Amino acid sequence: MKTILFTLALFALPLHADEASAILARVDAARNPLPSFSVDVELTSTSATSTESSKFHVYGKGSDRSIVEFIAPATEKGKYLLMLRDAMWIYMPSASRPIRISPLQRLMGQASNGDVARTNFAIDYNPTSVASEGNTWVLDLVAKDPSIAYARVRLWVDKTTSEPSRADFYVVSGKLIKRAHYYDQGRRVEIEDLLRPGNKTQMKYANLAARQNPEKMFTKDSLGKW
Amino acid sequence: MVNALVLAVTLRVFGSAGAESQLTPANTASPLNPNNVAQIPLATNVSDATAFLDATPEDHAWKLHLKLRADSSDRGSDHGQIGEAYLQINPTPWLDITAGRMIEKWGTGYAWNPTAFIGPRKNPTDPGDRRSSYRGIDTIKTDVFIKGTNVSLYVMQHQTFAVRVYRLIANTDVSLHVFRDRSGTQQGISVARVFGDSLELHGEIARRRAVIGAQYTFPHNINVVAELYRGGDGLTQRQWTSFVALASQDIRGANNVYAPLRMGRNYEFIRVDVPFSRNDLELIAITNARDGSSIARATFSRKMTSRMSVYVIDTEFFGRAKSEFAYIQIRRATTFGARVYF
Repeated sequence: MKTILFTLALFALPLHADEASAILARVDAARNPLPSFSVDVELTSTSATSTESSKFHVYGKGSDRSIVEFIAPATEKGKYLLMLRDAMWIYMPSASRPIRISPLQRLMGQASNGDVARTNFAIDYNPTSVASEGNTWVLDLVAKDPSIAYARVRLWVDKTTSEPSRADFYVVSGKLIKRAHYYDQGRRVEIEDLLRPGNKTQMKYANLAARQNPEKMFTKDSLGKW
Repeated sequence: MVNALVLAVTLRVFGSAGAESQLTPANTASPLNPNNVAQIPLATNVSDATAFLDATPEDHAWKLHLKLRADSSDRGSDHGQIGEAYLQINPTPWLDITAGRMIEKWGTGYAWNPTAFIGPRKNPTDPGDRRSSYRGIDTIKTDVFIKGTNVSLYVMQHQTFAVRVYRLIANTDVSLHVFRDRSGTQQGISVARVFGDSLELHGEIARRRAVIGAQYTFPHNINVVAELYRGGDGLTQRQWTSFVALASQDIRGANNVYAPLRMGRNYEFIRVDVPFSRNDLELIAITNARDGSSIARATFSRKMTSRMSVYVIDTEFFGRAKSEFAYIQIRRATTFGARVYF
């Protein structure tokens, strides 16, 4: 009996890993339906004392390249953010050159650069387990690379649509610091700062469209010049 | 056809306008300014406006870019300037050609850029160029993108050429720079790399000049930059001693020679930036490594609305007698300013 249970367990482990990976791939496919695209993003950051809004155009190609163009407020207009995998640069008209920045340098509010520009869990994380909660899969993800902003993510995924409904973000110490809720088929995301209760950022995506973004657009030297 | 082209072109206009009042009490203890012989005014009022215009069609086949600037001062004449004006065409996915006036900034350093052979010289006390005063160079530039490598070729007036080759290697920005004019050839290399979430290291080296630095982002977006700079074109100890002697004999001659932040060869720089709510506090300190004299600048700014910010900047100078910043002709500089963005 013990031998049978042990053998079944051996066969069960790989199946769970494959299933988790497949689910994760479907999540990313649902959230990134176009290989080359543009989308408008509006960020609203609220705290107990203030509300700030920003608007961006985001241009993406593949799963690991994106450019964020700052549209509003006026103080930010003309800036660009480039992300290539884990490398980031920001371009400001006053500086006239791209500056290398680290993931923690925040875009605004609760959405760090990594949150806004990075959308592909399958590229950055390995699933370690998957569980079922009613109509939802719950995946535990571990970052593949120590340079990734969040070392661990717990992701809730709708079984029918493969859309995420919630994600908990943990830093390397194991502390839970952010929680994201996904609505309207991922077109609206709300991020809570669990270190500062009451602080939230809402991201709204609109006008997602296919767009031919050339490779040279995603180079540091092209920032601000295309 | 022209109407259709016009309708298909996106025009972006953005920029800022600002006004400042600067108080600069004379430093009569400076050997260069006894009894305020340099006639430094106590107060100066300046204003400026900068507009950026970008026009490009939907397919980005070309781009027209302008940077227009105007400034005025109650102590001088008014100026208008075309800071940038260029046309860029993108005939192939791997080739861009640009002609006109453009600001090209090379290097990875924050306060100094030894490899900035064709760019405007940076002021380490104002690395961000808050009044957008930089003016570009007139050039024809060709950018070639080959499998992750960017090669930029510049042709300028008077048989002047420049080349920059950039590649991201093992998550490290690596650029090689070459500049040639009638007086000879200069070469340089700049690098930058991010480690983990928060640390960025960078460095540049060119003939006789080098900078090495680090940038670290702490929680709550507090950012610290530290750099060490070596400028072989600064004064040696012997040359500084000669300057000190000159200042005691020929004030006018010494004033002509005196150039703060170039009177030594080694400098240390630190910047701390603390954003909080709608406010930002920035502290910059630059120290002459030879004599320990320093410039310290504190800036407090506040975003009043999404389009307007106000700020106060205070710059102080510290140094014992016969040190570089003891010769500064002003005791301090205090600036009150406001800027509107559009």
